[in-house]
Order: sequence, then C-alpha cells, then structure tokens
Amino acid sequence: MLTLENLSLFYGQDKKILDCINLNVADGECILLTGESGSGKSSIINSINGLAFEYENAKFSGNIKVDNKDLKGMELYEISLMISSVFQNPKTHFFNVDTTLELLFYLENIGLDRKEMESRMEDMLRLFPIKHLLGRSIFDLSGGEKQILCVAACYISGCKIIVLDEPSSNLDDRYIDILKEMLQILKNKGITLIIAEHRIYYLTDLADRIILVRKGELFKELTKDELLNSERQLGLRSAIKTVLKAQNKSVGNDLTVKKLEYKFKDGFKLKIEDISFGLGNIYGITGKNGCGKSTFIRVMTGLDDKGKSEIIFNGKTLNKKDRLKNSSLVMQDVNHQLFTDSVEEEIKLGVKDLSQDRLDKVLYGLELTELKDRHPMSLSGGQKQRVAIASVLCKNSRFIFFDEPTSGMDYKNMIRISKLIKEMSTKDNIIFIVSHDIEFLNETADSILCLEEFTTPASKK
Amino acid sequence: MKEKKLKIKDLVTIGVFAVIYFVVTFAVGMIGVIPILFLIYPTILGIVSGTVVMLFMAKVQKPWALFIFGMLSPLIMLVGGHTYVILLHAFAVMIIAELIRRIGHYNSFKYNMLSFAIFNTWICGSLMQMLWAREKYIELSMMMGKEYVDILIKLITYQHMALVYLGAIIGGLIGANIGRILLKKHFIKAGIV
Amino acid sequence: MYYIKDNRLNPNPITKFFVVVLLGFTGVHSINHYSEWAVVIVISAMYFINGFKKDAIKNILWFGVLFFVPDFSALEKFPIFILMMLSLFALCRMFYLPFAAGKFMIKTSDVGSIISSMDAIKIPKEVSIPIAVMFRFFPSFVEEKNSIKMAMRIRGIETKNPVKYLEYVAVPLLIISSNIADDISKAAETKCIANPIKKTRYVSVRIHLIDFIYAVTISVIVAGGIICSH
Repeated sequence: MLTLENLSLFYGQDKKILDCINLNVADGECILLTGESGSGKSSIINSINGLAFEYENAKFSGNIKVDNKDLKGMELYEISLMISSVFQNPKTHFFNVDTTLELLFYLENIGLDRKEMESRMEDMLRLFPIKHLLGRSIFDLSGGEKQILCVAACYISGCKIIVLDEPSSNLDDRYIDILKEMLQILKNKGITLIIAEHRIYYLTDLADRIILVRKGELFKELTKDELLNSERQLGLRSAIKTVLKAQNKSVGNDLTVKKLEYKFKDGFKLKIEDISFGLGNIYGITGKNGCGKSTFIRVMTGLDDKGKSEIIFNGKTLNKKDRLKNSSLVMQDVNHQLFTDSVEEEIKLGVKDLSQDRLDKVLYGLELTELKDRHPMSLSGGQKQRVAIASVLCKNSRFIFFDEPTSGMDYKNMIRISKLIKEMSTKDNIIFIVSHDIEFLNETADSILCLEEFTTPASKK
Repeated sequence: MKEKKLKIKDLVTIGVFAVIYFVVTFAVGMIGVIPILFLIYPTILGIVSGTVVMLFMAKVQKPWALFIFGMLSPLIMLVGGHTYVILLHAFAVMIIAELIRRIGHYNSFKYNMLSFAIFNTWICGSLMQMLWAREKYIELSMMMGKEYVDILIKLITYQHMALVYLGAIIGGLIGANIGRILLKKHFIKAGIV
Repeated sequence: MYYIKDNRLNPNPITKFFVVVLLGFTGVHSINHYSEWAVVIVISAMYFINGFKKDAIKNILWFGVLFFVPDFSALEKFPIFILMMLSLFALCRMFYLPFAAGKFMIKTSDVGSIISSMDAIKIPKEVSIPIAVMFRFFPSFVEEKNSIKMAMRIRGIETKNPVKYLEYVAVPLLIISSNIADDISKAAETKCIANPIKKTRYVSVRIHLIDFIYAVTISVIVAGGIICSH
C-alpha cells in the first residue's frame, strides 16, 4: 500500500507546488491523476519516486509511505527497489545503448544471477511480444517502441508499484493502444499503477479511480460519466478516442510536388508524385511513426535533398536553396532552435529589416512582451515554443512547417496553439503541420495528407 | 562530507561532458593536418574548449571530478593509437590541476581558471611523445630528405616545447575567461548552473 | 542467449586493451619491419576470423600504403611545404600499430562486454560509469548537433564571425547536453545503479583460448621486434 500523508512540496523558499495531498493507494489499484499542465500531477509522481528532491531541489513536508515504510531520507536506489518509473519522453531516459542490456540493467544492479535474469526475461516475453525489440540499439527505435521497452523494463524489475508520468505524450494512436494493453496486463498481474496524464481516453476503462488535480491539490474524484461529459471544462483531452475527420482533398495548386523520392537505409521508400497544395491552407501531415514524416519536412524545406525531387511553385521550379529561403520550421524540440540570450534578440535573429513596431506587435500577440528580456532557455516549454513561433512570424515565410507542435500538451494549450496557427495562415502562405495528434489536426487543418499511402515497404531481396 | 562525494548525477555529467570535450579536441585537432600548426594546437584548444570545461567545473564542484574528466580524453587517445606517454603525462597534469582546484574549494573562479590553464597542457603530451620518440620520428622522416630532417631537428627541441606549454597555459587563460563570459551571458540566465 | 553473442573467437576487451597498450610501445621504440608486418597480419587475421573481412583487407592495404609510399626517393625534390604535409604520413606510420589494435578493439567489442570487463578488473564506478555514459551519449550528441545545425540553416543564420558561429552552436548544444545528462542519470538512478550490493553482469567476461593466442603472439612479436632492431 502506498500512502501520501499531508504531502506538500516546495521549490525554493516559498513556491508551493503541492498542498497537503492525502492519498491512499491499495495494492493492485490503478490511479489516474489528471489535470491541466502545471496542476502538479507530475510533481506527485516525482515525489513518489523521489526524483523531485534529488533533481529539482524540491523540499517537502508530510509523509510518503510504502507499506508503512517512510520514504523520507531514503536514497533513490532504495526507493527504486520498490517503485519503478516511466517517463514522459522516452528519448533520453535510457542508460544503455543496447535494448536487451537496458531491460536487464535493473536486474544486474540488484545482483540477480544470470539464470534468474533469463527466467524473468522469458516471463516478460510471454506477457509482452516484444522479442523483435531485443538486441537493438535504442537509436534505431521509434518513440513508441522506446516507451514499450520502458514499460517492459518496469515489469521485469518486479516492482509492485509503477508510476508513469504522461507516458503517451510522444506516442501515436497505434502505440497508445499497445500501451493500454500493456498497462491492462500489468494491472491484471496485481501491480499498482499511478499514472499522471491529460490524454485520458485510453485510461478510462483501466483506472479504478480518477482524481482531478488542480493547483497542487487533489481537487475531486471523478466518475467515468463525469469525465465523459466535462473533459473540456476540466482542461483535459477528449475522453473518447478521436477519429480523423473526413477532409476535403487538397485544394489549390500553387505548390506542386511533382516528384519527391527518398530511400531509407532499411530499403523502404517514400515516393510522392503530383500533389498540389494551395496558398492560404493549413495541411496536416500524418502517418504512423517512422513513415517518413520528418523526412518529408526535411526535403520540403530543402534541408536534406538528394536531388531527386521536383517541387514547383507558381510555375517555377524551386531548388534546394529557394526552398530553404522560403521556409520556416518550428521543431518538435524547440530547444534546438533557440540561440541568443534574450527573447527579443532571438526574434530578430536572421530576419532582415524588421521594424520595432512589427516586433512589438508580434511580441504582444504571443504574450511575450513581459518576457522579452529573459533568456529563451529559461522559459517554460510552451513559452519557448511561442518564441520560436514569433521568430517564424517575423521571417514571414511562404511555407511554414510545424513538427509535432502539440506533443505533451493539455487541451487548453493545444487549443491555444491551434488558434495561433490559424491566425498565422494568410493567403500568401501555406502551413504544414506534421502531427499524430488527431484531436489537434481536426481542430486546425483544412486538409490532411497521410504519408503512409506513399510509402513502399522494404523490398524483399 | 556526504555532499562532497561524487554522486551518480555527477558521474553521468562527467561522461557527457567528456564526450563534448573530446569532440572539440578532435575537431580542433584537424588543424594538425598542417604539421607546423601543431605547435599552436594547445593554445587554440584552450581558447575553444574553455567554455566546456568551465561549465563542467561550475556544474560539478566536487573533488576528483575534474581529474576523472581530464583522464578520459587521454584514455580515448590511447585507444586511438597514441602511446602510454600521453596517459602518464596527463596523469601528472591532472593531479596538479585537481590540487589547484582544491585550494580554491572548487568554486572559486580564479582557481578554476588557473586549474584549467594547467589542465589544458595535457594535450602537449601528444607532442612530448614525439620528442621522446625523436629518433624514430626522424628515422621515418629520413625518406623525405636531409634538408627536411634538419629543419625537423631544429624544431623539435625542449626549448620549443616550453613555448608550446606556455602557449597552452595562455590559451587556457583566454578560454577560461571566454567561458566565464558565456556562463554569465547564457548558462546562469538559462538556469543550467 | 538473448541476442548477445558469446563468441569464442573474439578476445575479451581486457585482452584487446592490453594489446593496444603493448603496441603503444612501438610508437616510441622502433621495432623491426618484419615484426611490424607480423603484427598487422595478426590483427587482420583476428578481424577475419570474427567475420570482418573488409576490415581485415583494409588494415593490410593501409599499412602497405604507409609502408611503401615514403620510400620514393623522388620525394626529396619536393618543396618543403609539401614535405611537411607528407610528414603527416610519417606520423600516421609511427602510430599505425596501436591505432590498428585500438580500432580492432572498438569495432569488435560491444558496450556490454566493455562494461563487464571494467567490473571484472575492479575498476571503480567513478571511472566505469562515466565511460559507460560516453558510449551512451556519443550518438545522442551527434543527433543533437545535427538538429541544431539544421535549425541554424533554416533560420538563415549565416555569420562570417566564427566566434559568433561557435556561440550559436555551442550554447544550445551545451544546454541540451546538460538536460540529457540529467535524464540519463534519472534513468540510471531509478534502475538502482547506486545500489551498493555486489552487482552481476549478464554479459560475462570469459577467457578463451583466443585471448592467450592474441596476447602472447603480439607480445612475442613486439619483444622480438625490439630485440632485433637493436
């Protein structure tokens, strides 16, 4: 049994993140903690696994107990002997490069012998059919595969409690379904699950209790019906699975992709022919993980092109350089595109003849005026993204690309970015959004292009 | 005292920064394609890598962190074909750098700067091994003619090596100060240290 | 069992490292030409029996080029500047043997066995963890660097000032790397890496016959080579 007694969490002297949390979790229970970004649900998870104190210099009062053992003062490894963690972004949360070793890493650290490791491995493989992921480099796995591996690693560790911090943020629908199945299996095995999440549709059947976290407090326990009827007011993502709305096929023919071909290392091919896009439209680009969405962006923007594409705009062929000049990109990890030491400098960077007037307007429109002297890297994720968008707005490009702009976003932020993008759209530009967030695409895109239709799998030799 | 022991987080930081430092060392080392530039390589390396090492020192203010960090690059170079000379030389250099840091209690800029200036001389070991292997190098260069070898013999001397060390220390001091400026301009503001 | 090979023909990393250090001596102390060739051939043979046929051939070819090219007496007439370039050749030649052994070690050892080896010879965790992290972080570093460069190109950041350029690359790279360092150590800590009990390793370090053969042959060749050249 896991008990939180009067748990309060502070950053620094007075910044209170959690306020007097009381929670009893019975063995084998599945608890869903939900709420808007910044409500404190992740902080609860990080208090339970101890990372908040070690890594974020948080202080806490109250008690966290597992089977009446107080976790206070325990080293992280002692906590981890009882509690496993799954993180939001599986990209970097690996210690080993080899997947098999990563799975066994915990077992090595608790000193199991080889025989026991093998039997645990077999046991895990009986539950989860992931043999194809073994013995590979984590750098060859898709985000979804990595997350599956993380969950499997939790099971193999034999911990009775698993905490998960927004595990679905970077997954597409297909992998969310797999994640759901895995969690169901874990629950059936009697493992306690505590999940912080605002994308809730896949958990409504699974969760025994759904608790709404608001402003650092456990605000209310919700029933399934309450959730289904009021997720929007609560700032949550849809409580039922969203389907892609039927879209009208692409209209307009200002930009034509006459030919775009890209061969991947493993032999599979992306080949697009004769597709047109019209000015003033917003296009959603979808397709499952690893079908070439990022490649599509790289070729279209002229960042990476092996010369096999022919792209025509208003009757004129655009070569790599032209495309690079006329494109802007908001990357998935905006950290990559922030270079200077203040928000204002950042927006001015690389833009010629930008008037102060225009700059102020953009800053104002994106609620960045007050932040303009801050260091971009010191901002929150959403703010950083708005800085990147501001610089794109000032560049005033013909083609604007967004790479997964909503990963990990709650409803409010998702709607906000959707509105922003729609406002950006003028009759002189074309916006492309690569995303697997169907709710967001339904909200934003005029037309959808599914790249899966254009891929051919690796040809068998 | 517990706080002063290297924790997992520190050890991981050592590994991560060692990769960055080595990549910088390697990239700057490309100027060695023109052999004469090899003599100012330590100076340039100091200037370019100062930021990385100063940021590292700001992040991990604990005993032996710099020592371990500093021994990793020579270790890679050993596997990459350098001789044991570079390892022994680096060992001596890193002990001195570590001691200087200790005097400044690991958080004083002045001592960290001096420490880095000494730290930066480890790369001179790659030239030292040439000096110690002078005969072999000259023998191999013989094929290129007597004239060339004469120049070579004049070039590879202990006096010149002293100048290279001096250059390394000066480069280190410049690099440390660039590091300090960038630390203030970016990393402290961004909340990284 | 689980896709981790225990190859009887592949020496363990400790042996390979020993050979690298041993050959390091040849960088500063000359050995006989025939011995040099013998070492190169042994390394190629090791590549070969481990299935790295291309590397086996490349190894011999490279050494052949380095061995024979500087022998052209015509070189003497070249201007000094070109000679200087060519002296790089001499340098490569000087350090080729330890380099080849090092390359063999890196190419044919998986990270798991390197980590296990470090445990086996009781290298303290203060050293073995950073080394393990280096293997883990290097590919991430390359990925991040490429992303940043991509971002710079599309933002149209073109600066002639190399200092500015370095600042633009270095600052985000260092910040992102710091964050990744945190993430990696979180992953490690929640997997009990700090657990003080005696750890086990799935990948075991065994000493096969091949380890003796490799170490002893190279030792004999080097020792013989040094004696013969005096």
